[in-house]
Amino acid sequence: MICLRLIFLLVPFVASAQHADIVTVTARKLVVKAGDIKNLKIGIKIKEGFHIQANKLEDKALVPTTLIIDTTDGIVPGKNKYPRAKKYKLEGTESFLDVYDGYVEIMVPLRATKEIKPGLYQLNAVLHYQACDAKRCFFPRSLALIISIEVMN
Amino acid sequence: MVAQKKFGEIIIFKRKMFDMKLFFCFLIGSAFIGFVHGQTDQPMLGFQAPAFELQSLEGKTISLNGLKGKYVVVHFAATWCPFCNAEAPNLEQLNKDYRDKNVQVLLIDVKEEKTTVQNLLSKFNFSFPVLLDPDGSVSAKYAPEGLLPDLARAEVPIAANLIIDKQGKIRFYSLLNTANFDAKLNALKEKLNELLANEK
Repeated sequence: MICLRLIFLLVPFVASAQHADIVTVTARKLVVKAGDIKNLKIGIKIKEGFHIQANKLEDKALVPTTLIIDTTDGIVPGKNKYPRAKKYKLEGTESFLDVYDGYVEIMVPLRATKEIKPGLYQLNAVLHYQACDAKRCFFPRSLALIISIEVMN
Repeated sequence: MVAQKKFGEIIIFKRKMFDMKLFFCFLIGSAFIGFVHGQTDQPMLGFQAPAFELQSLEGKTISLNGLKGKYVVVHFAATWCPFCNAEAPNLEQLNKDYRDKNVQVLLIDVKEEKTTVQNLLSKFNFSFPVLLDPDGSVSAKYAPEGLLPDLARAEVPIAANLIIDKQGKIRFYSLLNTANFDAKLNALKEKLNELLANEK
């Protein structure tokens, strides 16, 4: 009976918890040797029922998902490799959108120069995206993240 | 012994009453939250449409008040909004079909630079005014109170369509009516036809 009471009390609040944290972005610490190149994985988790526009879009008016990483002396980011887009049919139209949903990863090759001193480095990065669900679209947003890189000899 | 039994029955009765009360609280709470969050179609009907005065892409000032005596179709949009772009050719067709029937179509672009709007909307060749709401203040006024509280107010009406009648009252509002995204504006046209037919 106590469980039933708890369910009665909690269900309305659980149902109302929506529209928060549509997109979350994560990056694991990368360990790289001076003079080497390693791929950094940036994970993007998109809340179920939502999608974000892909990086390559046919319609130039739409906002592509982009990741911008600040440069720092000794660590050189290469060209981002974005995941393959899914086709999403806009209800009531013949149009298809290129989108990401679920969990996707952006790969960024990072090169540590030979001259860089061993130690822990941090790079600032920003993910730009524009999210929609089957019903509506949200303003384009930016998420900042800090990427930790450990350079070893 | 009898007194103990009766006391036990009273306790059980009280517990049942408490559970019943809790159940009704749950029902009322759910209904209230459903009302606030799930009011997915036609909000603000019969309300006076919030006044606005905005600049068009051509630099002309257009106010809602200045359009009294006309039916005004308002579409809130942004260039990055796929729903809005999918609907755009149909909005243009609607303008062509209804402009001689005392209907004024307006597109209100929300929180974008004039040049961006000019560049990205030019492909649609709109024959009706495109108005700029650079700070989103007009769009925010059209966000129904309490609906989607965690969104920016200006964000709520994006892709919505309204019909405002000759007296400035909202007669159609397709906000979040998205279980069936109506790119062809069928529901809006149906309402517009009904309003025009009732005039005769």
